[in-house]
Amino acid sequence: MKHEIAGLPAEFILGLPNISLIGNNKIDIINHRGLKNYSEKKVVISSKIGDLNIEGDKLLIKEISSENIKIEGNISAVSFTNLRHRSD
Amino acid sequence: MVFLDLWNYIRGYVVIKVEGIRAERFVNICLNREIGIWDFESESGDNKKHWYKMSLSRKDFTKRVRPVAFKSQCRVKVLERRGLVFDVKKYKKRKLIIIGGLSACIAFYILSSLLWSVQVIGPNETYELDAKKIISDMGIKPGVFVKNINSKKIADNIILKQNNITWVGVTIKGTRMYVSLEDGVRNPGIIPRDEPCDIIASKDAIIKSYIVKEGELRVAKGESVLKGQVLVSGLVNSIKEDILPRLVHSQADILARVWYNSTVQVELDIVKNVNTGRQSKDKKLVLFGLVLGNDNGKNKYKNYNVIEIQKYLTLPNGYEVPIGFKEITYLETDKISIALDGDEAVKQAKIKALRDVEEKLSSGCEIIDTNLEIIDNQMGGLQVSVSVECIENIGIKVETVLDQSK
Repeated sequence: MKHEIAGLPAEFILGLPNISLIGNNKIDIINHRGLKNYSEKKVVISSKIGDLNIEGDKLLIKEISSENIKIEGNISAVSFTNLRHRSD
Repeated sequence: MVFLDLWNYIRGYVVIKVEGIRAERFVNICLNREIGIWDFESESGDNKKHWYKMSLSRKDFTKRVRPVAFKSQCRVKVLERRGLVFDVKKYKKRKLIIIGGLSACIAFYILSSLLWSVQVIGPNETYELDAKKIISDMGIKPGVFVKNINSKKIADNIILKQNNITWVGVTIKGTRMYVSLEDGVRNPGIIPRDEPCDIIASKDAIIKSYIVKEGELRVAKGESVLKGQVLVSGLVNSIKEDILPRLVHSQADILARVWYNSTVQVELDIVKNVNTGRQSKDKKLVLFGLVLGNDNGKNKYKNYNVIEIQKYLTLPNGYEVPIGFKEITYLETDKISIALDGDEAVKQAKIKALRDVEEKLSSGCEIIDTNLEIIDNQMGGLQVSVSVECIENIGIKVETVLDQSK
């Protein structure tokens, strides 16, 4: 996969999620497509390439807007499900 | 994050509970409509019913949430209203709180614009007491408004009324006034060249030599003179009796031998208070100069030294607020008697005595002899006596006082 398109970062042009994890208690997701499910143990966030699952304990959505989500809590796993196939 | 929380508090926000099968949909619609959500928690009730708790701004909640809830078929319940607007509404009914707060502010302002203490730091206690009396005679006492104090006037007044003070500094810091005094010998006023004057001795001495340029010499070589004695008179008598005496501006260099002495007691047995290293600390609140709490509260030692540090709250502009605390440290001490070596003690005493004498010497004097004497007094102790002989000019000019009878 290309990392840059026309000199701009690929996630920006293609709308891919940008996930940054700080330790195991803070996660920041930019470019999401809404919340699918939310409980104390699991958060499912929809993105362009599939569903992003965040598992853990005492999960709290500190901030949520149309662009980004900030989650705090004891995160134990971050995984993707229902990945959409991409041609490139 | 603190700023964000503060901003949200100022704007006001609502904590709501969202219940329904498709509660996530409620959130997604909110996101699409750009309704900001924070502190979003998932909670389950007693009957295992699942619900969400979230915070929304007051504006979004009142105007935009209703259609979203309708569309997502969720039930929205307000749990809490938080923010400045709601707090103001709450306290509007409780007038006493407002009155209390306001009167506290006013009282604080008035009390902190009053003078609470006057501290005089001078070379010795008599000067300090005199200065304190002058200041209180001017009507400046604790309780006066700081604004009305004219520090230049105070300084001028002290200098005028106290002869030995040469410099006065008055600084006002918050509610406290500090007055610092410096003493010194004032220069005698310079007498104009065309006015008659005498030359008198500035100290007890023995005349060694003199050069008289103008005036009439009243002393001889080798004569001992007392302080204040006239050496050269501005009243010149003529040899011929029919000519009246003439008044002149005396000019002369009178060199004389002057002695400076100092005696220091040698102590062979010294009782010293030595810290044992054990200490206890006590802190007390100080409100408007009053120390709250009982004295000797935490002291458990028999022999002790006390260190007291008083600190006041200071605002960034250097303004001192009359609220602070006093930190008291009790240091336990032990009395220890030390027997000094005789020679060492004499040596120390010599150094001390010489230093004492050096302080007394006037500038421009020439040391010609130094005598050291060790005296054995009857009490079993020793005394070291230092005597320094100098040659210096002892003449000072003063205005001629005419004797009316002549």
